[in-house]
Amino acid sequence: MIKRTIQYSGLTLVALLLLAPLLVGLWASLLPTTDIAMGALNFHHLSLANYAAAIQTTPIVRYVLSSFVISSLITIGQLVLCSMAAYAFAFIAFRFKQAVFFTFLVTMMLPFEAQIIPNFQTIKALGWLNQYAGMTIPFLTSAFGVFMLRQAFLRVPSELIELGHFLGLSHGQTLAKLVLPYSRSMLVTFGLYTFLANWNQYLWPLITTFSDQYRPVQVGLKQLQAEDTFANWGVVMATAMLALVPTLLLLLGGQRFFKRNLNAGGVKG
Amino acid sequence: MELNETHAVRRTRRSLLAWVRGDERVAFGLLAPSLFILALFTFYPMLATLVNSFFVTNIAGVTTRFVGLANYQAVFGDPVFIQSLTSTLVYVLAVSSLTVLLALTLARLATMKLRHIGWVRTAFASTMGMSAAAASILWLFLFNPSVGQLPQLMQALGWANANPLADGQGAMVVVVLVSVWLHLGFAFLILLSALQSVPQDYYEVAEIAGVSSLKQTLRITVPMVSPTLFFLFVVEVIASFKSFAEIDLMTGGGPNNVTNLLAYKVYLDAFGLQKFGPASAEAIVLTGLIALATWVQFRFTERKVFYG
Repeated sequence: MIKRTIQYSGLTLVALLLLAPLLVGLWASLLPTTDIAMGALNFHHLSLANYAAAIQTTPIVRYVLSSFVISSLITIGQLVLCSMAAYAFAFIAFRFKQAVFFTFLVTMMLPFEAQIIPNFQTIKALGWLNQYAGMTIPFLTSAFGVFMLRQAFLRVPSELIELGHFLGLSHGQTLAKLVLPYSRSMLVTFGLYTFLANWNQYLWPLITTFSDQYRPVQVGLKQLQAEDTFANWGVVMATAMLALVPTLLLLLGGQRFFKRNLNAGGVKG
Repeated sequence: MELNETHAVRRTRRSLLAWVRGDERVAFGLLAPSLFILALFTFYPMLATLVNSFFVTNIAGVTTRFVGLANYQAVFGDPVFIQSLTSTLVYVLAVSSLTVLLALTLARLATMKLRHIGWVRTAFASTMGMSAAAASILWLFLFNPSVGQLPQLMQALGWANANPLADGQGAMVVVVLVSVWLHLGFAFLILLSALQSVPQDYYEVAEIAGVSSLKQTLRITVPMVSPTLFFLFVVEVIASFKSFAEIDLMTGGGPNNVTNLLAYKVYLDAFGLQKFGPASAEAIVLTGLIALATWVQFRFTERKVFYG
């Protein structure tokens, strides 16, 4: 009994320590900035005033909506295009297959951070700067996704594919009616992961967006921080919380998928 | 009869060929959109960066004159770049090893046989749902010299310098701390699932034999999950080489370029100073380092980690 109590208190302490930055931020977002400035983090003046101010006086809602649009389009695009490519690699014999697969693998070794200069010029030439197109189209597929889904598709029993063949299903039908439903769990994991990763994108929107209309929330936070000359910490914390809510909820719902599936495919961070 | 057979064989072969060719068309159709996007937004820019690194460019980024390795010579002769390279290696090694070590500790704690352990796991995994940008804002508040909680705490504990972001070493420590915190959630989840595959009887036997938990971790857990530990370490190395938002929001590369990590320097030189040639050379160095780490991951971890 005593041992249990010590174990639980220890675990709670570690958990609180890890969550501390989030909890302090949440607490501060509920306090008037005057209290924060005095270092008085008590609970006499708790209110949602900072959130009201953030929504009324900053474009935070617009930022969050942009992020939703961008991340959703990328996630849908990757689920479709990566599934298609992964199916070809898993189930179709074609010439130069190994070479093409190797090409996909090689792109995983090439960091996006090193490609920003020509990519910026390409997007500029296409007239896609400060547009959703420029923030989504380059990311509609990923070698990592193709690789991860191919691994999942290879675990589909070959009897199922043969059955599809006997029933006269085309490749498209086999993919849509047999392979995708069978790999549902991995598709959910990959979808959640893609949404999360793209919701958190920072460098690319930093160099390709210039107006509040298209700015996603991560660089929106930088914008608000830079504009905030009065150090209005309460409002700043409220905006940070609003930016965090969607992905924290997503993690809460998707945790078991991540745990089960991220190990299996050999995943990057 | 013989003639017929040949006909039949030929017909079969022809139809087989047609089938394969038809299939090839399907395969190409399925691969084409992905190949097109990767060609335009990964291979072309990588090649263009390599080419640019051998040229002088004008302010618009158009290559004007071939200069051979001059950009590389300039870059490696630049003390700021050497500083950046050194800082990057220190940062990457510190973040990767601390993340793996702490994630292993958390995973051990979260596999204790207790009820309601689910909540603890969710708390431990929580930072995976946080963006580097939002996390930086949270930590900037905590470290703010006038309103933050940590400087007060540090002063109370007798720290002379209560504004760590203002000095080089302090800023590096803060950036490492924030990055480790951010990476912990993901690393924890990966290790949690690995640790759950270790047979419980091993621990039970060790428990009966009176072996301490630390020794259990070192003698049972670490050997059993060593492939995952190695895999995770390499994944963390690659991720750390790419850290950007923490730097941009917390230090801007300062003070005195101590936290001006390679990925950030590429951005500053290209989009701040319009030095596209040298920035491209730096980008190629960054690519080399990350490609090497990724190669290690493919070469040495693939087979072993795939049992997961």
